[in-house]
Amino acid sequence: MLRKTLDIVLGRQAADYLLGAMPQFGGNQYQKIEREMIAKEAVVGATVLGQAPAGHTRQFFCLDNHTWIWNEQWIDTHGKQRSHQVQYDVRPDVILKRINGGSPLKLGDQELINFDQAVSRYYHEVATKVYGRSVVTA
Amino acid sequence: MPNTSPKLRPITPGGFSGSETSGHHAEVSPHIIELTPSSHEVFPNPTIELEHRRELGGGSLPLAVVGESFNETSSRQQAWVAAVAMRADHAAATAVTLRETAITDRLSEQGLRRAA
Repeated sequence: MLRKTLDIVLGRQAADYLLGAMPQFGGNQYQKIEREMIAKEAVVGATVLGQAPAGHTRQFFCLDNHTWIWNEQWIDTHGKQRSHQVQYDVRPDVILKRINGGSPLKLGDQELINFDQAVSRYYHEVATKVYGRSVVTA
Repeated sequence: MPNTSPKLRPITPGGFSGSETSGHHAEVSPHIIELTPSSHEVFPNPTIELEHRRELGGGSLPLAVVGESFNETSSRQQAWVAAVAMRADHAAATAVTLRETAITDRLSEQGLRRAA
């Protein structure tokens, strides 16, 4: 009530100043910056998987605490845009991958080793190159 | 979906490989990529690299061992999957935390704070 009254009487900026409050932002701005940060991580993450074939655009990043995305786009020999998106869902007892939203497949054997190494390297590379933090290796 | 599945390729002792696909994505041919200088920068100290490899499990990941019973092998594989999942979650949680901190810092610089 006080806030509304001050907003009306003094205007929002003056009310902010008076109340010592920082203006708030909606979810859009947070999400916009979040997308920017993920895009930066995805560029560094792409290098974790090695050099992409010529003409390919590759991204590899963690979407949230349990989801990893590997996205790759290229133009095929017929000039058609092609892509695949692989989503890795990490669960306590299994890691599942879905290709272009298809059926989940269990990760195992060599591919599980590769995933393990890729995410561990991502952890170090992103911390260092995107966020300027050094991470301690146990 | 046999033979059409994109697969992450291994990091080999002499180089670092990218991805592989097979089947109808014939233009995505497997190839070995040498480690780039930037990759080495992360581990300038051989000891640190050794420690990192140890953290990753190095070459000692418990693949099926000759002579083990099925149950023993299965149990070891389950433990291995659980360990990989834990490391992946740790890596993701760290990245997400760093991301959130960076976003908050950016917004603070702009004089904004996140709505409660």
